Amino acid sequence: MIFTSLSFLLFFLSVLLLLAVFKRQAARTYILLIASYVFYGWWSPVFVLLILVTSVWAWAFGLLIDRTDDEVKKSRYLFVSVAFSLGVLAYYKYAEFLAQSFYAALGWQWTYDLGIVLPVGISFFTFQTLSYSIDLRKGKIPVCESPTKFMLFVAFFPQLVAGPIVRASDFLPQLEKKIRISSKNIVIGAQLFLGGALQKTLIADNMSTFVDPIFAEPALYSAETLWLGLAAYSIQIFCDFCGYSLMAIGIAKMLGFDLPENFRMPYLSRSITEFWRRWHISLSSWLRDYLYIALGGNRKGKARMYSHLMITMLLGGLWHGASWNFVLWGALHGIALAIHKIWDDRTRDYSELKATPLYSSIAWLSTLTFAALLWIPFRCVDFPTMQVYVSRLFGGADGIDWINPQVITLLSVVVIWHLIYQFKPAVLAKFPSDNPERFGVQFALGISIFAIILFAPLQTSPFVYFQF
Amino acid sequence: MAVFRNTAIVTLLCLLIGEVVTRAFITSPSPAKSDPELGWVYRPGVEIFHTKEGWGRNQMNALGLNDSPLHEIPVGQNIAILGDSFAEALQVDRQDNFSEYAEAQLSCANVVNAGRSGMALTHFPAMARRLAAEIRLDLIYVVLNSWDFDDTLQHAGKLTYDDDGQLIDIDVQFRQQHSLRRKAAVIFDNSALATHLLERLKLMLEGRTVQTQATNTQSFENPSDSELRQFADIFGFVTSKLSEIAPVKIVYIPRLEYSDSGRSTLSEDSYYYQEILRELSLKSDIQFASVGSNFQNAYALHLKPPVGFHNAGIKMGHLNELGHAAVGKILVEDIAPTCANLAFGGEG
Repeated sequence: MIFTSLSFLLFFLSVLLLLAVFKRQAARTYILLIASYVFYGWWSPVFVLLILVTSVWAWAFGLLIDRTDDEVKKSRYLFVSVAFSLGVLAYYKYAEFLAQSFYAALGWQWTYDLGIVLPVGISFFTFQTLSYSIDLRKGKIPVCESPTKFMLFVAFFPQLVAGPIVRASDFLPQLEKKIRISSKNIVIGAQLFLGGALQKTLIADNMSTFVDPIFAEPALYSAETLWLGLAAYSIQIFCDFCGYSLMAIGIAKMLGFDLPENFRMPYLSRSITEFWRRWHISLSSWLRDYLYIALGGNRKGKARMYSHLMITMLLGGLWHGASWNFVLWGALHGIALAIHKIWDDRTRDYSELKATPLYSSIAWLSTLTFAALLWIPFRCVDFPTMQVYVSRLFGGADGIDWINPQVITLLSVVVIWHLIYQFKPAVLAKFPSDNPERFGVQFALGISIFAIILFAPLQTSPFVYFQF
Repeated sequence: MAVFRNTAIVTLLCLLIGEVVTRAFITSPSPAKSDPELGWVYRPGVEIFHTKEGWGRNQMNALGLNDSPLHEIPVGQNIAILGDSFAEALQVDRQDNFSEYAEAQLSCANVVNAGRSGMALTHFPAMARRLAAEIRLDLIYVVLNSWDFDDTLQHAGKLTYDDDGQLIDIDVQFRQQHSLRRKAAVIFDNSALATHLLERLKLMLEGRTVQTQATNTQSFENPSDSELRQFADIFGFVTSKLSEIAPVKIVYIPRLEYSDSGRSTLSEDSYYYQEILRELSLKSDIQFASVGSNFQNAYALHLKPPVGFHNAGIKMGHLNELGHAAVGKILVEDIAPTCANLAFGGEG
């Protein structure tokens, strides 16, 4: 049940209707929890049990951490809680990969199928339970006494399967207030949802019909086509994930909840460090707070800081999927972040130069090119395909030319959108508007709906980040 | 009150912009009429602007076919091309389709493009009869592709067998189909937006994509014995009916699988159906030709697949200009000797 499907629309309207009928806070919490489990069970009912067990485990150990004054015991409880969550994640996501890698290291042939099915969104809800347990142990948040509220925090359906990753400190306090279904929230949320749907269905899905065949068989296509494919994929993954996040934020808003921003025009970044402050913000900030800083951050000298960065990005890469391609992607980002930190240190005295338009333009272009090139290992299914892609891309290879006019049109649309954001931000700041009576708002919404109806591919591609 | 006024204005504006955008970038209105034997056919003389794949603007003739006005040449050959959307060729301009390509290359031939999207083998006798009522037909090419096996079985209609198990009649009457399309014909004939939305709705309800054929990359499974038998019966029946009008030849358009450096092979399913058709043609004493090697040569030479378009998909979908030229060459090579005979006063 993806957000852009008819089944989701009916499901969501039913939830809204139930919330409108049952006004008591407890009833609304139960409705949202049951709806979340129904939503999750739509993919595989069996895994509802998994999310239930994961939630109860983290909640119960949270209580134990809170109930004891013994610091050693607190740490032990935390260890058990975290180990269980990570163990579940490791089993479902990495068992086969680790076994394969072990066999490969020994030069053996892996011929088995462990038959492990990856539960949708496991990486997301695992990180949420981890953040709760760690924050609780550090005394940053109060314990959640209510199992219902905790389970809803883990399973809240708008962000359950692909984020944004919500911290307990952001979400649980919202459950302490009254869940409010207001027309203002619905109007704002609907606009956010529509904005996300535009990005997903109109841009990302149309790009995928071009990108998929090119990345499947890069050996067939000319270098020009491969460059266009790379540009298209860079836009596809951004619009797919940013669009999903925006839809999730919009749905949550309609239900009366605020979710954190997940993207802030990352392709406008002028350094790779800035890129990670704008791309998948909920994940990058999670990795920063719970991994990089936990490892020691920059408090233990330069050399250690670089190694912390590398470890964080390697694990960040691996978080996306059990594949060496993701490890490589994370490692290259880690190296780039380290190099940028060194560059930043050594050019500290040149702040005036850095402020010039020429420097900014070069910095922006090099960051954009680097981030785009790194999507190759991210998107290619394996190392050999990636090698073919890269060698043909830079080798000026002959092959099938496919210069798709729709892709170029959509790329232009995205460029214009970014230019407006950069140079005329006031235009975009009008949305979402809480005044649906304004002609401009109605017209923008009407045209958006029409554009989706007319141009969206009939078969919606699954969200890219569902696989993570 | 202002809200309702704004909503009404916005809705009207959106419909207007939608109509303009659809006409400019997607499709023209679909001025079609229901035909009891052929399903939906174009009204005589309408212009069709096709942008889903490629970019073609073509005016239909008096029979609703993508060809110039029907005429007969007294000396030389009047040749009918029967086929589906591959023959109809709305994706390219008229002068680039294989019927026109062949006609332009041959001084002695009047090649009539009688292809119609959605037609299958079972519809061809009716189409041939209509043409024969207008002009003398000297030769009929039946152009088939990898998907025609399934299409033929799907559009088989009602098959009547005699006591000896011989197929004696095929009833392909279109009766209750497209009732919505028929009831609101005025809207669909004049609105590109309505036409486009109806098509999308239909595809959504049927759970299909726009290019079902083009995107069909599922692994191939051999048809069952009963399906093969039924197809053979239909093939035999149709070709015998067509042979009553004029000699029949089969041209097969296969699907390729592409490798790097300009290498390609016939896809598994295409090769399978090619051999089935070759065998059935041989049994019926009908000439059979496949465009496979022409396609492979064209790809090796130009590094461009004979099917697909930049605005839809490469390697899939309908024939592009290169593909039409490859099919056209087959026709020219086959017909040219007859022209030579005619030039020397021999018989065609």
